[in-house]
Amino acid sequence: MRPDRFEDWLTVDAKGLFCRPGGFHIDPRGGARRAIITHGHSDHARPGHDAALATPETLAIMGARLGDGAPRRPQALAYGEPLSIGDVTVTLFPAGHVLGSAQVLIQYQGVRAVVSGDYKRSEDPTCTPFALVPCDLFVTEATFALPVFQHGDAAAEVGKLIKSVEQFPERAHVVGAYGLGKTQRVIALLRAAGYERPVYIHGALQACCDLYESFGVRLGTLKPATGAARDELKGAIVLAPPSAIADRWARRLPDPLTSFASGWMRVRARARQQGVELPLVISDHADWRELTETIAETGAREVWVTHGREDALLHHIETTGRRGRALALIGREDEDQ
Amino acid sequence: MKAFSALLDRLVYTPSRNDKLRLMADYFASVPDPDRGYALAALTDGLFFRVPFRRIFAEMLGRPRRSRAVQALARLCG
Repeated sequence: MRPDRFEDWLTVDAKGLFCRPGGFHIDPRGGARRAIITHGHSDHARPGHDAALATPETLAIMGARLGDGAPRRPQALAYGEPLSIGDVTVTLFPAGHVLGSAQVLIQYQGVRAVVSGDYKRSEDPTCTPFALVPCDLFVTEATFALPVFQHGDAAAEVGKLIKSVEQFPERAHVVGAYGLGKTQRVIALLRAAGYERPVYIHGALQACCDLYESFGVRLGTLKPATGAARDELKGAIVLAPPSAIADRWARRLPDPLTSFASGWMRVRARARQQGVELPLVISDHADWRELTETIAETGAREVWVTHGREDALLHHIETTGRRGRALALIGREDEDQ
Repeated sequence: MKAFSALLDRLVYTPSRNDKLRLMADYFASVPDPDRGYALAALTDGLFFRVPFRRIFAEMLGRPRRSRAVQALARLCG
């Protein structure tokens, strides 16, 4: 295995990305003997692993979400602490994606590879900000890797929501948001904007909110939306999983105004298809500018793209004189799409 | 200008006529002149530009001024 030939020691098998000299997979599908998990989303933290290494937050999230499928032998590793595994040294660094999300730095005979999982560079009060880790090989996502995706200011998007509540005080504002990360970020942004009324949440979002609170992320007063009086929900902000916003569940609310917080809301047709009246472009993934700038800043001479719109990103990578490679890892996309 | 673009964004996604009216009423009550004057003109087909649209589109598209595509785009811009 030549360290400078990355394919020799970082391979792709049926379970996903595998580090041979370390003997572990990263975010594997199906049960793996040894896994490193970048973050708690269901397309990365899958059930059935034997040993799993992750940040304490990610392990807590996996425990809460996977039940019996949680790793049998969890091992917590804090950010920035190097750990020898086989012939490699592994260090986790914040990825800024959701609570506990990590990039995995693997050092093998002086060569540095970073598997970044999902990441973003923009500010998020609910998780540790992205740390730039210089490396020779950078493995990146490409969820929003088209120049059209420019996420803009999340606080301004939440400002639109608050303004709409003022304009339509008799309508319940139902905001679709992924349960892990987006929900808590939207609530934290509401609080940062001075919104102090209770935020109502769908039952499916409760566990993750409790978990964030237990790690010290303050979310203010949350109330269950189910069972709340109809009058109480007039002019209220109600968060629900994306699958529930166009569902019978939402129709019980007083004259619901449908909103959706997602990077996909940049695409007008996508908002319209889902009957969204108030699209909020808020993403926990890097947009085109963040992806391309991050790749340049890492100094990597080679870049592998795991999943998403890789064609455009690979083209860009090659125009900057780097070697690019599509891994086309299957089964990776935002959960709950 | 930003307030007007925000208004247009809301109008595009809002299906209810009454809600559209409320959004416009709020806009005109809160945005100062001359912006809201321009907005009123834009919304009521009263905004005219002294700009040679036909020539600009013909150059952009690389088509003759009398071509159907150029004519259609120019009509859109008044």
